[in-house]
Amino acid sequence: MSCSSVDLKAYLLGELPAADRVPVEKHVNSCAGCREELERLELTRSALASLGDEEPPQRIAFVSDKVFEPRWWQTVWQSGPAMGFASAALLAAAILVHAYARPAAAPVDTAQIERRIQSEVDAKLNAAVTRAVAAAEQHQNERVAQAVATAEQRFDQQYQRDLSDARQAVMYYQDRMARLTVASNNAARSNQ
Amino acid sequence: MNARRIAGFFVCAVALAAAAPRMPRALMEQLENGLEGKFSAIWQQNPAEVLGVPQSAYINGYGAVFMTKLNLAPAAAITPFHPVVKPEEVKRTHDIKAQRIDQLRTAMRTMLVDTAASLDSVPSDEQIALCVSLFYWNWENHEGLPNEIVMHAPKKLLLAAKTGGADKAAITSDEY
Repeated sequence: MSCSSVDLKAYLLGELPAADRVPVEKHVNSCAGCREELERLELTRSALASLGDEEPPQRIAFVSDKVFEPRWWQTVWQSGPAMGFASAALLAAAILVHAYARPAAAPVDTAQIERRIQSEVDAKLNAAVTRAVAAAEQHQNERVAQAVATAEQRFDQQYQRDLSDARQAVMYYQDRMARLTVASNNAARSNQ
Repeated sequence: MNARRIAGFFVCAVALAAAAPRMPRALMEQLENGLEGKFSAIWQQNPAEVLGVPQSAYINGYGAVFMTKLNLAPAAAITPFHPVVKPEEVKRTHDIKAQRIDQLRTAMRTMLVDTAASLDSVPSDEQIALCVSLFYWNWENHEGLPNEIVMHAPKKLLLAAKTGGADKAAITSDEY
């Protein structure tokens, strides 16, 4: 039996009578090419068997039907100048939209800025005033200390002068008292 | 023996007499008081004021020395009732003292001469000295005025001056 006389499709689909199947089976067992062909057919049949049943289309149209005519957008899509014009229009529209639909700048809170500036100015002013007051206090303390030292020195000098005057006055009156005492003694002695 | 004892007693008596002070203290005190009165009597108006008691001493081999302290023109002291002395008062006091200083020098020479005549016990070649310390308040201006005047001269010179035999200007005068 030759390979060309073997009907592998009928064998696979079970369409051969039982008497014809035996010689086919013997040939397939002895012929590697036919056996390989049979395996491919079996694979194809299995793949077809896995597909679901499809309903055949109920309407059949022709290419010349209006159904197959291109839509307007397909016409535009397929037209270079129209596509360029559309792109330019789209770009212009985007620019316009961007121009008019640009989000508005966030409102400036001037009061907050004023408060912040005021607080910074206050802080700097306070620091400057504090420094100035400290410097003034230091200067004032130095002047007071100097004035006190001068006053103490002047007071001490005046005290020394007063003390000297008082000592001199005491000695003066002591001398006068001594003189009077002697005169009194002399008078008493002469009276005796 | 008795003659030796008598001679011994005589020698002791002479030695004791020589060792006895030549100037009796009573005489010195009398002279001191006399000086005080004389100084007070120099100026009748606003008299000078003798401060303290005049002192005197006899220094054997040198002579008699008299010392006193004098305020030529009494003025008020600084007190709580008279705390400030006006410049006019300072000037007035200074002027009075400057005017009186020459009169004081003259009076001191006269006193030295008079005192020398009273000091019989002082040998004639010994000195008679008179020292006057002048008193000034602290507030006073004593520019041109001395603090102390010391006059001295041998007794014989002073006695000669008393009788007109010598000039009082020969009395040595030192001022400090």
